[in-house]
Amino acid sequence: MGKTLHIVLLIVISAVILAGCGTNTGSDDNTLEVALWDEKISGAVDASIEEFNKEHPDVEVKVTYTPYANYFTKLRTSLGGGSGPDVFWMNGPNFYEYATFGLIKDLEPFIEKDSEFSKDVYFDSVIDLYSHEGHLYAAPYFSDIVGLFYNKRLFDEAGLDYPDETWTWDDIKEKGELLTNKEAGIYGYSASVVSNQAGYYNLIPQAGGYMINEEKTKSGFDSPETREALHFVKDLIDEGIAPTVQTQIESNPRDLFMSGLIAIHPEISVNAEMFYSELGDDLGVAPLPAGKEEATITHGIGWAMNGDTEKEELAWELIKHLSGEKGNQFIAETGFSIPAQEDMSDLWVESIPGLDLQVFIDAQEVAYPYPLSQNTIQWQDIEQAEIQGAFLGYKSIDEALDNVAKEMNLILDTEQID
Amino acid sequence: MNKKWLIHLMLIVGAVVMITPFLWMVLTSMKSFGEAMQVPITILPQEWLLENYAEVFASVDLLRYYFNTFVVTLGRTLAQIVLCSLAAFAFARMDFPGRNVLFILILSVLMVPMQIILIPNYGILTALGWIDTFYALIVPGMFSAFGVFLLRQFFMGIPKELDEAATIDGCSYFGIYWRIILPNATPALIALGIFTILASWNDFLWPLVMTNSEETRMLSVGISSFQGQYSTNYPLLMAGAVLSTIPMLIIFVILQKHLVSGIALQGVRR
Amino acid sequence: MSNASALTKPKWSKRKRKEALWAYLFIAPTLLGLFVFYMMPALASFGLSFTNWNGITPPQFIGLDNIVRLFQSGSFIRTLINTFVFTVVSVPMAVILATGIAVLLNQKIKGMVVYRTIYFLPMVTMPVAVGMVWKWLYNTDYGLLNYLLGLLHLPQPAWLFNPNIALLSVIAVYVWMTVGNNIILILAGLQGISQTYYEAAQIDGASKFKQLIKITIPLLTPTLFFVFITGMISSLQVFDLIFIMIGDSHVLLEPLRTLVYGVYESGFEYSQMGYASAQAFLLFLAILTVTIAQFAFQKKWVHYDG
Repeated sequence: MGKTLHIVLLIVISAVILAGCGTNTGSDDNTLEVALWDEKISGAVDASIEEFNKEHPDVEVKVTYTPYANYFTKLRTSLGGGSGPDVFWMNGPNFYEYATFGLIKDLEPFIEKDSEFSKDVYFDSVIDLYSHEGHLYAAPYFSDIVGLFYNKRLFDEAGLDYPDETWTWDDIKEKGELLTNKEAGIYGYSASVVSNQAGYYNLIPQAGGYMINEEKTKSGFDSPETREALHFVKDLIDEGIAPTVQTQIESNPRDLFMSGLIAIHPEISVNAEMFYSELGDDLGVAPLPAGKEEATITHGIGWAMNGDTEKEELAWELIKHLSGEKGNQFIAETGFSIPAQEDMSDLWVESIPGLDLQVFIDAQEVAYPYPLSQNTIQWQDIEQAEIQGAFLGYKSIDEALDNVAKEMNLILDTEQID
Repeated sequence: MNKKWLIHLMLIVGAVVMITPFLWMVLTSMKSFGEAMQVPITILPQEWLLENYAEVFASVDLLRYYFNTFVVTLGRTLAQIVLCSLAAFAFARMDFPGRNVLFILILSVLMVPMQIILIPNYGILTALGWIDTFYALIVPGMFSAFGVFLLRQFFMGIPKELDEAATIDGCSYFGIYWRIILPNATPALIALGIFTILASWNDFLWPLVMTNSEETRMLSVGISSFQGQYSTNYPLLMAGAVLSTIPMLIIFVILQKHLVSGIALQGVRR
Repeated sequence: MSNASALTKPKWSKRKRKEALWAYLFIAPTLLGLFVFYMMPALASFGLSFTNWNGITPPQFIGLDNIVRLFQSGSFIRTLINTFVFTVVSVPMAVILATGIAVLLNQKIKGMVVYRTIYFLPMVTMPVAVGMVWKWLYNTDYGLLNYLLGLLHLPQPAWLFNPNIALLSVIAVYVWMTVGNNIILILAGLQGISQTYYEAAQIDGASKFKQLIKITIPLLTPTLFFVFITGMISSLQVFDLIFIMIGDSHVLLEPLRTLVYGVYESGFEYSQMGYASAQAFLLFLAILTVTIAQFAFQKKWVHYDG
């Protein structure tokens, strides 16, 4: 009896294993798979898909949200395993690799055939971000750019005027010192070293320097301008105006600002809504203070098409709906971030009435591209470890910057060979 | 009397260390988003918010995730207990050519980092047509080198005289496995059960990568959606974590009795 | 492996053949499953370790370049040492602690279910919560640990920032996390020890401690052997915990970088799957060697009470 039992068991298990073999691989012809990471934008995405379905009622669009921390691991695994979503979000640091490996389709042939899509209506910064050798590989969806957030209550308590477009680095130092209250644990300025995008990536071009040259062959981290920018940060930290890097790593400046412990904090536009919901009318925003020059880092998100998709026409139609005028209108209305189409930006500005979001639109005039090459993530890891290490006292800032430039140049050299 | 006090004292000291993060999880789940971000951190919530729990239910389809997780866990656990114990029985009690080599081969599975087999496995599951199905969630988790090793180790501790007596009585190999080994290895089977349930319940990367749709979503993946790119809604995440943990705790409380229930039986046998 | 052929029954080949056949049948399902979902992918990755595969596009054969590159890289030796230290410190600690606690939890005293459940909690607590709470405990300025040390006027170290103690700080969390696993295994193992031994010892007037050393520990060795081996195999592959503890602060990584962290970083962050596979393969060889050595050595201390 026992024997029969386990033979039955064996058969069941073999059957389970074999059951899947017969089924067809891949999704059927009438579905499009879409992948992205930020669920906050689901309202806008759903609205665009609804529009798309009006024209293609027989097509089912399946949307999968994967948290950012795991998004690229999952995407990479599915593409490496031979499938993956048809249409998906792309960001700057990953873009060059996906474009050069042919993992995402060159959109130029679709654009040429299609009179409805024009690159001209988008902010140049986002078009440039997702262009490789002059060809667009991801359709711009939204843009994010850095602005100077501040806590009005802390300014009022210190009896100071709010920041405005006349501010320079000197004001950060002067006003920052007045805003700092060591007993209460309040810092004047955040001087973020843990987030390069909201922190020193803005200061370097403001000092007249660059992170990577336009040809993407040379690092700018050892230039005198970069040194100046980071020594500016160091001074602020040494004087206690900004939290030490150890404090920054342990308690993110973003959280300190939301807790009312930092008076001035540069931050990406995407976080405006979160800040506003925490700080309410205490929150204000101004343009980034100028150094030698005015500059603010810009980045954005685009929709890319799987390089192996068999449904490219449908995928293109969907991308057009997502990044087209209606799609941009939907993003603007949700207040998520600046829609990539310039004309839709006014709509976004109204999404948080208590906050002068126009600052971010105007900042596009002095936008500076987020530094990228094929192996961005590799040299950014080195950059962060070296620079944060210098601030933690492991080495001098100049030594760290020399190391970054050296290692980064080595990586850039290998990209030239490929 | 004195001794018991000492035992309690030692256990309580350890318990404080062990329970802190769990309490933390519960406390955070009742804070507001702003308070969870606050620096310096508060220990007790300024206001005890139960709304976070309601919001978890409102924002994700938790009941479906419970159901999915339950089905997957049940499937994996039952299969592992049966399959691992059969293999372990062969390794512990039977003699056959290549036994040591096969055993090391099975053990070697434990030595390959999960990260490295993820992509080839995705390819295999794609070829089988299993991506985004329950097959992908259950079948690969039915086999466990750890389980084979664990049970083999325990089976080897069961006195051989018992099998020999059974052999003389005319028991087949399966009979020995079924009537002698399994009943005498309850604590080990329960231990394996606990580990499998735990591993399946908390498994994150595998279901995240291998499934996409709501229909196949597991609790761990569903809850992770409270993690954002720039900020995580910790109170919601923790509320979700507490909710996903509760069934595990109930299961453990039930199973732990059996984990230590072999005593009487073994005492008699000797 | 122990000597199961000690069944000194008359041996005739038909019987032997039947036994072998049944044994293969018992093993077959597991072996097949492990082959398809673990060994095949592992073999694939072994092959890929000789290529420059980026994880996505077709690979090119580059021979042993990955291995050469690994030994030339500055951080590899450091990584090896970290991984080694991690295992050598954490595994014995987790085993000894767990044995002590399991013996206590095996008593018949009031509230045992509550204790057992509490000791089980670290295993069910969500990893993100574990990371969060420990980061807070270790926080230099606002952390609970340093607050308590401050009350006692003791030095307040920067637990994760001081490169000399960062690894130990993470090891402590790892032990905390894994001790529950071991407790469950050891509790199960304790049930296999017959009460008659203790009764005999009590008649002889042996103290509780003597009973622990003379009876419990020796009879627990098959379980301890298991706990040791599996603990070692998984601690040599530690990754998740380090990822959780440092988040995206690469500056904290160097004193904590382990072999599998390198595998993850190369494979999934830098798209160098071939290189990652080579690292994984080296790690595999190392673990395999240590495991086989442990099996050879087990006769010296493991008593299978058959």
